[in-house]
Amino acid sequence: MSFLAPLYLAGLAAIGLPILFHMIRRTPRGKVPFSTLMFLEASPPKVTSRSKIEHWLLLLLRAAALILLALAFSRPFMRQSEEQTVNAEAKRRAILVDVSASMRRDGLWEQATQKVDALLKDVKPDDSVGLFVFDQELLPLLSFEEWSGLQTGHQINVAQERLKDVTPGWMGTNLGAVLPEAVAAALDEAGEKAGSRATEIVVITDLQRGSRIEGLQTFEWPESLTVEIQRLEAKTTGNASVQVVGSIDQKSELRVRVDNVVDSPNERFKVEAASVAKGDSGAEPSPLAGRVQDVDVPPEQNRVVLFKNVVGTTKPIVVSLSGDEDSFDNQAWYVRPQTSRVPVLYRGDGSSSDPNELRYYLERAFLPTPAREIDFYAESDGNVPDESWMTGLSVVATRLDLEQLRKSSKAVEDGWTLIVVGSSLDLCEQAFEIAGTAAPDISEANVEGYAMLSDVDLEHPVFQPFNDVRLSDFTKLPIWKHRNIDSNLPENARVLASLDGRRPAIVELPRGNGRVLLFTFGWHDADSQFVLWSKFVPLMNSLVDDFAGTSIEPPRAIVGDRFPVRTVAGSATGEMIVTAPSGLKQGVELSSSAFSVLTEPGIYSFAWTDRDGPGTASIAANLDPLESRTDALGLDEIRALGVPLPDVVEARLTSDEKRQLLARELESRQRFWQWVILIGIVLLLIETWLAGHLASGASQNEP
Amino acid sequence: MPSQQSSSFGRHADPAVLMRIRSLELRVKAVMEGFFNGLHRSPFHGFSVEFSAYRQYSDGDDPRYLDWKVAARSDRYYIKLYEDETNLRCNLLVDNSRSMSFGSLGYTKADYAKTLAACLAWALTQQRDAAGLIVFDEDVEDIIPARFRHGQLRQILVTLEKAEQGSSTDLTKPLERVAGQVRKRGLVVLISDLLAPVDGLERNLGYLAAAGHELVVFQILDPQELNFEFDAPALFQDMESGQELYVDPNSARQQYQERLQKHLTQVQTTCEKLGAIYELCSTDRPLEIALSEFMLRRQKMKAGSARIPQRRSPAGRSA
Repeated sequence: MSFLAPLYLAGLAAIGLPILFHMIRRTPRGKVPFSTLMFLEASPPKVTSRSKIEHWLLLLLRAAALILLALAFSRPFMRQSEEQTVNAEAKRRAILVDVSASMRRDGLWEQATQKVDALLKDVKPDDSVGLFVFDQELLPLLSFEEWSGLQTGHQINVAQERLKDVTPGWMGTNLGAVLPEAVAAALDEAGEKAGSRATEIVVITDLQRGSRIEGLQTFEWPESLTVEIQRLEAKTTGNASVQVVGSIDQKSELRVRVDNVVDSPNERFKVEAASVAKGDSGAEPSPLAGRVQDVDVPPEQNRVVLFKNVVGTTKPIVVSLSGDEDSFDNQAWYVRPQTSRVPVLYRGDGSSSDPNELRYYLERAFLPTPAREIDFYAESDGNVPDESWMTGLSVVATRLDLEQLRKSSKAVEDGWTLIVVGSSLDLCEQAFEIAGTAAPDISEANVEGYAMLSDVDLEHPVFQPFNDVRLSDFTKLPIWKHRNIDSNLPENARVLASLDGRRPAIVELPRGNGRVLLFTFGWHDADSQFVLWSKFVPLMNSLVDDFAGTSIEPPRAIVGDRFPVRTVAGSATGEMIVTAPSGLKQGVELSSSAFSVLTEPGIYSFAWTDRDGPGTASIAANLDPLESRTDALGLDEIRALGVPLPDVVEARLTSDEKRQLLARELESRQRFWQWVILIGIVLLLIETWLAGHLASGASQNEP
Repeated sequence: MPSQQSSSFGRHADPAVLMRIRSLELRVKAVMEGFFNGLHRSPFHGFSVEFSAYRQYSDGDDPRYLDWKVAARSDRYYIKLYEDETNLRCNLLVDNSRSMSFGSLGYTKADYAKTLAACLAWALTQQRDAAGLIVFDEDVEDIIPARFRHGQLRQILVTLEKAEQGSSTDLTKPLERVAGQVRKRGLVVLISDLLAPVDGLERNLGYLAAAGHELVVFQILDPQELNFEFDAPALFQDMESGQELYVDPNSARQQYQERLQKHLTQVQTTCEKLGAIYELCSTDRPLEIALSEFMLRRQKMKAGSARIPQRRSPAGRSA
């Protein structure tokens, strides 16, 4: 029998009290109200001491109750079962090491490797360990399976060897995605055995604020699992970062944002813009004259700095920050986006000055953006270019002759997007002809009042810009006349929007590299007010950008992204050489889904050859801005998301304290004190009854 | 104990039984109807106006009082003279302080005092005298001016009945009030335990005596207060101040009685000095006895002062 709080046993001394009270009793009982005390004087109170104990049972009961009370407070427990819990079960432990860009800060990586070494040394023969590194993704260095496949004793060496080859990269951190993955890895491989072992995930990280922990909010943590976060303390606090916001007119100025973290001691920084030789960010940047600016940024704030007349240079620009503690995020790159020219071809009637004609609206719908400019051609003007050497958007609003049909089919095959305005049954059928599929049954719809667009496929790139609650109202477009597609559509067709009666309104029919978009209603006049609709202009631009890969926003390439090379190379085919900022070259087979993973910040250069001859492009890959938020997250914030962290205190305990903790755990499991208190209460009840009984007996005996 | 005592007082109503009657009015009737049975003629025959003599009419006399029958018979003018029963104005001062709520017999001194006051009021009303009431503790709580009119008795009884226990005793204020307000000479009856320092008593009663009032002091005390027959030592709590004192009665009794006696003597001396009738009433004494003793003493006193010529006046005119 041991005690958790043996000091309370001193309370046993209180046994003396009932004995004392028992022996010495003050005689007066109660008060006598009397009309006046003016004739009275106080008598000295008499204390009669008796040397004899009268009620042995009562005394014993009181003493026992006190003893039990003292015992209960000192929290007794049995120690013999303690050892069983100590070396209970072998552990299964996943060690996750942060290799995100913020780990490049001074001294963090050394700390991390030391912690891993310490953890590995702690491993018991029965334990199963997996070693992982993570930034945005989880990457196993040594999986559980490999561990168990290796010889005992050799495992640790292998793990250490593999960790030696790793250094922090340039990616952002995404704990929210990585932790659930690690849980899956830790439990999944264990299979049925997982339940029997204590599974633990140890995360060694600097736990900077930009770790994207929000993803953990909805994760359901398995019960048998605990997560221990070993936080690395950076030697320096106060990081500032620089990001290129972009330039509004693309002509001259460049906006650069300087962010400062909460715990920063510095407020004054120097920002410098310099140009870099194209395709070789490794070369020494040549500073642009007079491009150094001082900026004051209080902690937790940001300031935008304007560099004038710098974007005009065709060379990529590097913006450097100095004056803060950590240098890993002190550079930002910018490349002026290339402007591409996109042809829009209109096959239909009408002049460009007649507001009753579709052409009038179409010609005015396309707005130039920094990334592309539109060349509008109308067939009626007779200046239609040869469609075979370029790709673009073609709008068909009239019946085509055979030659035109053939050319259009070819153009779609080559990658054009062809829109058919189905203002008549003929035109609708023609769309299927161009798409090279059999036309389904199409009939004129009988519309009562007007129909509205519904079931819009907001996931489709064309409608993506409207994928927001504030923008997804499509009910403002009344359609008075439309065509019904009665039979089944071809299998590869995709309905982008329907009309009230679930009849297709916009159908996408792919063919070759291109596609045909069929609108089953006319765009203006008798059929609908499509051209006057507020979404007409954005929709047209979205269509162009979708196939030309030129979104209105200039491409923001973040390190860690998979950069779709089609964005720069368009529909070119063949092989592309990607040159990383470090000079590393890599070949990528060009296709619509080809991508290049950006692994480091700087200027990426792309070179390819297509029908027009060699093409080149470059983009700037910048650090994840969240990675610069280096102020530390509190463990409480992690715990608030439901992550099963062990008690923070427990981690820092000495062996003595651990022993005490164990004792406390044992005690809380056994809970003897509750029984002791219960017995105490019963004794007190008996005592009360007995005392009452004795007192009433005594009072009856009194005269 | 009460039963033993009541037997010693013979036919009188046992106060313990009497006090069990909740209605003050019934209580008063139980006392008073028996009381007058032996003392006077039946109260139902009217006694207020009594013929005494004839006197020859002289100029200036009110012709209303001419006895026309005599004039018819004898052709002389006589005026009827009556014994002038002055309409007495009596103010009953009833102490309602907290000390009055002490009682060892199952009822309190206050009960006794209220019954006594009610009996007096009843008797006064029966005699067509004006009765008033002042209930006081520290301050004057209720006041009913002395009048003789229909419903006055009822009002007094109700006021007495509803009077709630007050706080401590202060005789100065009610006595000053009476001295200030009651200009006409009359009877002032003070019913109190007088368990307060007597210094102010003499001065205040002195004012009233000087104003020509006839003073009566009933000191109501519980037998336990008189004898202090507690046996067990205990904490005694002063009912008025709440002060506590540990007292062993056995050792304190003698001193208590000595001091009490001294106090009572002081009160009595003061009363006698001022010509007041002083009556010490132990609450175990039947009320009738207390009343009759008081009546006798009053009569004696009146007889003693009979040499002071009684004012005679035509009937109906009050003195």
